[in-house]
Amino acid sequence: METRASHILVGSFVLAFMAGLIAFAIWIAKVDLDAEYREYDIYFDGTVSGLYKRSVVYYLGIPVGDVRDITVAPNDTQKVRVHVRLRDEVPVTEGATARLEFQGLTGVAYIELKGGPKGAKRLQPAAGQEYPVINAEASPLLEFYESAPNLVNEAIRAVVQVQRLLSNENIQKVASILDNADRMTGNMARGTEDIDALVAEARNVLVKVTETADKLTRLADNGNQLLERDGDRLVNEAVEALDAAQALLARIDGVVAANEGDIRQFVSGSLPEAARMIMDLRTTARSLSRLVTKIERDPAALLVGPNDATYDLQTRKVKEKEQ
Amino acid sequence: MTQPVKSSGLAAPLLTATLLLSACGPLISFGDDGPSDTVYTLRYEGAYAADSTQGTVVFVDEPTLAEGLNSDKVAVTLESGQRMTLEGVRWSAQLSDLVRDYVTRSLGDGSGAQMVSAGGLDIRTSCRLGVKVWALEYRPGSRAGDDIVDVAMEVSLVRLSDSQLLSKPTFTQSVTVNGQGDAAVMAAFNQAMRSASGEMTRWFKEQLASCSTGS
Repeated sequence: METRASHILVGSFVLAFMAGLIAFAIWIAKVDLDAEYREYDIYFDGTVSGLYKRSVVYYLGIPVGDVRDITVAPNDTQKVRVHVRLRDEVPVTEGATARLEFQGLTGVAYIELKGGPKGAKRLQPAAGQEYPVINAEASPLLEFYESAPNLVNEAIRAVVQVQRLLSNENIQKVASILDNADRMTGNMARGTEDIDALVAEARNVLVKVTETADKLTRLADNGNQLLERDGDRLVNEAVEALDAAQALLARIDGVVAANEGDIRQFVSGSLPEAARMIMDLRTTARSLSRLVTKIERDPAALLVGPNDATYDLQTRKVKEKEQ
Repeated sequence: MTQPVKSSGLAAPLLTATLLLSACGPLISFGDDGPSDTVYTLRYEGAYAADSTQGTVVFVDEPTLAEGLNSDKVAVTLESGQRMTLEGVRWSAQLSDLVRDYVTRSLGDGSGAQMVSAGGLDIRTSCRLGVKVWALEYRPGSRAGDDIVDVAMEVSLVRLSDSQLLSKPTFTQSVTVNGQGDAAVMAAFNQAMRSASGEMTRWFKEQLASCSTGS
């Protein structure tokens, strides 16, 4: 005999299990049935690498929504349209900005929102747009990643330059410069010693100069005494000598004046002639000297000619003189 | 007291002996002089100086020559350095006279200056030109085609107003002897002198202005 209560019990249990299963699924999916959402569009310049559907959207570090769709902007192929859904209470006002950020160095991206100025109106869709558009900001980290290859290249070039700078030749030159600097400082130090010696010598010289000055002073005193004692006699003798010289010059003037014409003729005419005559006499003396030398060397040559050897052009041989 | 009769007796034999001895004179010989020398000269082939009193007057002193050159013989220097003269050839005058005349004429013709040399002692001059001949000699080579003639003359120009030495260059020329025989050698001497005096004239024209500036 079948009991009726067991069917009711089993059916109730299955319904309760199904309800529990649905509740568990809702709990697992964290479905917030009471939440209200607003959807926005964000247009990023360039790549949004690392951002996927379901990526989290933060507002000042608080998760407030997620990415619903990522497509190329319909009117500009250089931009990316990211459609996000945010909780309704998030204050997305005019002036709010969105920036693509990365979690550490894993490459996983998320969107960080920053609210607009205080008191601004809530962001509304513009005319012809289906959703409000949040302005996108360039991400410093993304810019860094984009410029990273260039930075690496620059770094490589810098390393190469440093390697060139630190070549063995340059290192040797630097070592040479240091050696020179070391020698220079050593010389300066020795120069200081020389300066000390120089100062000492200068001091000795000054002492001697002082002594010499004293001697000169004594000499001047003696000279003064000499002038005072013998000055009159010396002056008288000098005056007499000058008078005699003046008289002599007067006599010479008289002689010159009396014979001015003859003297002028002698100076302008005879003197150069005499000079050239002396030159001719020197030439004659040279010739006589050569003649005497020849006579001394070979007296017979004057009568029968020189007995020097000659060169015969016909035979191209030296021909000795026959005695 | 003398004896006139006895003296006249001795005079006749002495006179006869003298006449006999003098008749034998042509028989006495000091040796054969051989064939006579061929005579050459150094001759400037340009024009003579014009008759003018314009231009700077320069006195050309008698040249001095290096040892062994001042004669009428043609100097020869062998490759071994042995010095001698050329057989059967001589200059027409002492070499110093020939060089002086050559320099006087060539400079007077090429520069426009009034060059005075021998005979110009009483002329007022601005400069004196001295010439020293270091080489004017024939250098035979190992074969005829290698023979050369060397000429080297050092000249000094002195301003007489203040006895200032203006310049003292040396002009050298070496000319190859083309052909054989003494005529070819002498032609080479004249060619060498022509080239050397040409260079000397160019130098002299540049120096002439300095002869007057110091006076």
